[in-house]
Amino acid sequence: MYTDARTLNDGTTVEADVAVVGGGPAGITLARAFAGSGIEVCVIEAGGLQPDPEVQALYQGENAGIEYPLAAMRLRMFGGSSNHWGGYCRPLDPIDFEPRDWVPHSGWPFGIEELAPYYGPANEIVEVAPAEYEDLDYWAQTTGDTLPELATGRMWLRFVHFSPPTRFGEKYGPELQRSRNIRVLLNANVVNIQAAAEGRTVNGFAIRTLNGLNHRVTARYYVVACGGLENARILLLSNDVVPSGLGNQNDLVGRFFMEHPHLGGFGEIVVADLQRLPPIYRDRILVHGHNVKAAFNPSAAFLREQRLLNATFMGGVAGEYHRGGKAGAESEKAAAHADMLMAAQRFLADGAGPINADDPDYLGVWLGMGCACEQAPNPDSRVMLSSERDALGLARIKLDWRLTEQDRYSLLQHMHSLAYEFGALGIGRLVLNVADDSQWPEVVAGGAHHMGTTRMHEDPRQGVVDRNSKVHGVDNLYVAGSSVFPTSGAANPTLTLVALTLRLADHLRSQLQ
Amino acid sequence: MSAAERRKLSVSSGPDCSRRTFLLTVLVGALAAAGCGDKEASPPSDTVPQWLPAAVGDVDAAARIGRAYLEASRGEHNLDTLLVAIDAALAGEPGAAGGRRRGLSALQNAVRADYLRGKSVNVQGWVLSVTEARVYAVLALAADG
Repeated sequence: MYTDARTLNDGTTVEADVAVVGGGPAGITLARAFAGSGIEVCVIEAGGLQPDPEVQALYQGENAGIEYPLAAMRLRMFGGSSNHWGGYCRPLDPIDFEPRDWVPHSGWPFGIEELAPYYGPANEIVEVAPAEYEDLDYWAQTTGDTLPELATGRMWLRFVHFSPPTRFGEKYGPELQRSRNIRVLLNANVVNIQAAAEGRTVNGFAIRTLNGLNHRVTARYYVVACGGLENARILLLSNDVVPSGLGNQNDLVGRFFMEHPHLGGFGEIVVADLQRLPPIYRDRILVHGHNVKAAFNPSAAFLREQRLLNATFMGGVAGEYHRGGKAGAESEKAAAHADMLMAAQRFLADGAGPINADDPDYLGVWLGMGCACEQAPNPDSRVMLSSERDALGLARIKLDWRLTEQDRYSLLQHMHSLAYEFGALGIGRLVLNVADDSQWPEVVAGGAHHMGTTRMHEDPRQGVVDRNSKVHGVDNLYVAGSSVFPTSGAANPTLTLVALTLRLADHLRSQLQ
Repeated sequence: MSAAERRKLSVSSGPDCSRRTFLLTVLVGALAAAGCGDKEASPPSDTVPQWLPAAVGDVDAAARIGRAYLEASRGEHNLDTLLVAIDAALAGEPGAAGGRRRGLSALQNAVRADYLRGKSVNVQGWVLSVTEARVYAVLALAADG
């Protein structure tokens, strides 16, 4: 059932067994897990079914670190940020869960085996099943192509599956609307998590609407699931009982903000003979109703040996070169690419003759490369409260996103690895457009992956939530979403946060029984 | 290859030919394969191995890259130094001994081996095999006389 909170009588109290703040991938997944059960669930969504500029403006905030477009990186409407999701899906790698002595604050409370049973159902939810993320032989057989294995041991191939992408509100909203035990409260902004007993329990979510109404939702269990930035903000705002904010007794809420730093245009790879680079290495291939593409990732052995962070690289054909080609706006770059293709032709193609018999002037192509890398957990990279207020009178977010030399160094090493892999296979040559000057290039950007701000750790001095995503020191308050990731890996977070949410649903079900 | 091009690639070198034994062996094969039998009997010590131009797709393009490499590697601005280094890289590669075709194969193997081992240089942003860059540098020196 959908209810617009703006139409309720002022002062309404809604009762449920489980109250969930946030109607994005985590909140909707959690609610669906209880559909048809006897458990009453209330999903509290700050937006409506359609985007609304006035609502979206509540996401504006202040930057203290690397420039980050806070209002553009997430969507405040039903379905949440899945409404602008790119659909990249891949599980985290096993090494991402491990404590690594070269990565401060690394290590999840459990290994990937704990999440493994949930990745399968998560694949179904994001519409990428059946999914095979690793097996090169499987993809050789499925595509009918010979897929060369990477040769240096530095990298291995993984396969990214692309969700349609699933817009959670559109896809699963009707199911929630029909469900008798699930109520979706729209246009309802949670402004305070009401705590009792010195902050050891929660007894309500205080709600305010933009038309000035105040409501309340009470439940046995409360789940905060409104994204990696907002989860921290809402805990920090809930400071009437615990002055530092709920769950923030150890000054950890909002700290360890992580993104997957993206460096668009960090480099290009020229390839003379595309037959040496199978289509799935450079294009999305439609298989089993969804697209799949190979990604180049550092191997676990190389990460251990060189003490580096994880990363993901993908590329696609961006242009073609012919001998005597026209000079364009990027003529200098094009000339350099063409020179390399001409010079290295004997290393990159068979024989001395034309690469393409039908087009003797054909030289090859260049691939545009994209990367997303792991950012090491860093307590100084953090979400705080700004002195500025939003339309509801609440302190806006102040984000201080910071990257370190360790993050930059790792990425640069992996860029070289990529060059070595393409060189060792005789496929291509890579040119880097970033200098090795110990500075992060200004073009660094996030991927709208907000992680780490309510990190998971068994020790309350090192994490905001425990292994079950329960806020340390608060008996009935949980957090869902990528804000609980202690480390980010280099895979896009949506699939993993959905898997984690399914695991949380199992835990809550056991608690409710 | 025209006579003019051959002249352009002709570079004086020192008397120590022993370090280039392999390259010169390959050269003889390369000349034979290229139909330059008249050169086979000539002492090739004053000539850049002529299989090197055949190892690249375009000599001029390779030379441009080679010049950039030499700019950043002033210590290697010397044909002997470069040839010795290339020789060392090729030694032990399959196909290292033999004619032109096998010589090219050995070079390709050596270049791939560099990438496998991470033996690279940065040439104007390009991450290149050291051996490959040196081949381009030889062609640059030869072209510039």
